[in-house]
Amino acid sequence: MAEQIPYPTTDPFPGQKFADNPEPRCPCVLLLDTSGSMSGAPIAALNAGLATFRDELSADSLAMKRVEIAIVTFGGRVTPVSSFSTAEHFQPPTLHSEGDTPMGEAIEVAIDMVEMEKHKYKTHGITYFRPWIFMITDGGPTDGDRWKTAAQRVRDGDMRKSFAFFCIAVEGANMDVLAQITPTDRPIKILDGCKFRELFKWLSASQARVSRSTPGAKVDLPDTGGWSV
Amino acid sequence: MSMWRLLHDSITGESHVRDGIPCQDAFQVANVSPIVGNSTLVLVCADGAGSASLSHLGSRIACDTACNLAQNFLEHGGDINSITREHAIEWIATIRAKLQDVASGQHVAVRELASTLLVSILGNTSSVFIQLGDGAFVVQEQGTCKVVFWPQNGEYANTTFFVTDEDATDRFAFAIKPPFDEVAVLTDGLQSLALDFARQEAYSPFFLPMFDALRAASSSEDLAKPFRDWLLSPQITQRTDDDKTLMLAVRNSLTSADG
Repeated sequence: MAEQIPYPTTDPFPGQKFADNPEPRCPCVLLLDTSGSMSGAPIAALNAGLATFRDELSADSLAMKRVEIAIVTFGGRVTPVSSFSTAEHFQPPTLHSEGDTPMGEAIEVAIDMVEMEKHKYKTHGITYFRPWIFMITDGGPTDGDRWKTAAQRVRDGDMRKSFAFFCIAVEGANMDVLAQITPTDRPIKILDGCKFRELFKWLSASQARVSRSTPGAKVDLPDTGGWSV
Repeated sequence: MSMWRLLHDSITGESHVRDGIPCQDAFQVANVSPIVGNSTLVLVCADGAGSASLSHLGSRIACDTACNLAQNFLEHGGDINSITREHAIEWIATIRAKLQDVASGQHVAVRELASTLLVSILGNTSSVFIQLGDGAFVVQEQGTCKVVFWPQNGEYANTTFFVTDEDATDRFAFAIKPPFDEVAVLTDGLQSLALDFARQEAYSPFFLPMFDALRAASSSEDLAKPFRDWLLSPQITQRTDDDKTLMLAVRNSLTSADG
């Protein structure tokens, strides 16, 4: 029996995905708090939410080709769990919770990933929509003052429309610090209990709308009433 | 004697049908017999902004006004070879003023009539192209299709420029080119199918068979229904649910034109 070759984790053929699918891209980084405090019901609900996210996007043929998802977790350390892949290739991971909350570093990693992905799009002549960085946390940064640099980059980037930064606070989140990170014109949304599934349904519907928006069109995001308090 | 044969249509995007929004694309054609020079074809199209409440009106007005301006110029002694960027600036300013008037009458901001604008003036000795915003002119040259200007977008796929923008007269692209016998104009709803974004070129296999079919048909009316059916077919609607407009023009430069 032939030996199996593990699929490499780094992209061996950069640009291949664009040759197969030249649709404009709608990139979205899920920046997920997987620190110890998320253990139990919250992390289980988050994992279920990710599966819902994939299912919801799969039901939309255009979104499936256009929405590109990347995941960065921060729990004990910052982990880029998956680099950008279109919804049709997105495999929802099973995340585990442990450790503290290096949020500052995680935010900077997410911003760097967005910048690099945009560069890739430009190189391959792929048009794209404004990227989203979508952070979900039940805590606050534990990596010293690093969040201050991250906050500055979030606010600058959001103001220059380099990306749109969203912050979803789960019960227990450090609202004071999060308010200093989050852009003032897009305030923190508070998750109602463990309604991750509803949250990801909303995110899927939002990304579907953004990914088919046309020049000059204002994107009206769906109502957040189903999951936020 | 040169004869143009034309085929054009605008299709309301599925998303607009679903949301009860009218088609925001518009186009206009004029065959002009100027005092100076030979008969000239004016092809104009415009794509109203998705978010603007009266952009279907805006694109209509922009098209009709642009077409009238070009036609008046040619019919009152203007030579296609004398058209300059300054003329285009004047025309765009006139269109903008007209949109401003309509907006005031409707008690809305001019932004509500936002629309792109593509104007081509196709003569026997030269062609003039004016473009503001996305969409494209495509011309056939020695068997290859070329875009005149790459679509004008901002950084993101859902941003562009409009004739209602305050800096519209600075933003637009203008070019004088040699005459062409095969020309297409399209709005952004068809860009992803008709243009090769990696190479920033027109996708020749999209256009050449259509130019050939239009030449070969006994009359362009025969193609009107197949053309519309094709624009409504899943192979197109699966790729885009936006409004889409395609105008095709082929010229028979034969002395024994078949009328």
